Amino acid sequence: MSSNMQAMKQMRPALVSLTQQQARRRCFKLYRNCIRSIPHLIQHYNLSYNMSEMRNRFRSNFVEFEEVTEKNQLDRLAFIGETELFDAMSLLKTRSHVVNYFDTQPVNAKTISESEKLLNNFFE
Amino acid sequence: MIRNTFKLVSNIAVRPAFSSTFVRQPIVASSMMVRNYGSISEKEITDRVIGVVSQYDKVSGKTVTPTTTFKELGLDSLDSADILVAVEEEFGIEIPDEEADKITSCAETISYLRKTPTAK
Repeated sequence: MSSNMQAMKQMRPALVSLTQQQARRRCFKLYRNCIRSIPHLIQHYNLSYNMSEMRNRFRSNFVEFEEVTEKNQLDRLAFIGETELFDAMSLLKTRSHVVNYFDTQPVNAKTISESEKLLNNFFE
Repeated sequence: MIRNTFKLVSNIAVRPAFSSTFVRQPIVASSMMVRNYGSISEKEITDRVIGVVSQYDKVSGKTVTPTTTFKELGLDSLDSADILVAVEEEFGIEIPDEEADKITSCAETISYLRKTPTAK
């Protein structure tokens, strides 16, 4: 737990990646820290989700922007994610904020449901 | 206040992310065998790594061998990160980010764990 907090504190400054590979590595580092934080979020905020559901929720945010290759944009997205995770792990968010995050699914073409696909085909 | 909360919470045992259907073989203790607690045998590391990888959702139904790469199993980079975090929980270690970026197969995971003396 303390090592995880140290890792997240080191993530806090808004680093500027020199290469696109470095920015990608930063995003993967953020994803790993998100997964490591799932047990602690469950305890701190008294959540009742499955860990696989929470992991898929984190993953959906990363899949949502998987077409982004510009390193400046990756840095901005990673910084937003790092700040959100740091605030959650530092108990600066309330339970309603965290529950709202996990209950709200991002709108993404890959995660669209079958019925919505059917409706889209119908409207075309 | 926040520091005390973290100290209290960090003592609570957290259940693992993957269901523990993978039952580890009990080590038969004998008077002649003295178990070296400082290191784990390579066979045990291999079995546990294959167990962790096999339990992953997207790997169910596929054959996992010590030489299997994550790409052969149809896993992308995020799936590799999922599996490495599960391996961390299984062995009680934390893989640094530089090492985690390089691991792309079961063999590399096993070789890294063999080099890690703190794996339990």
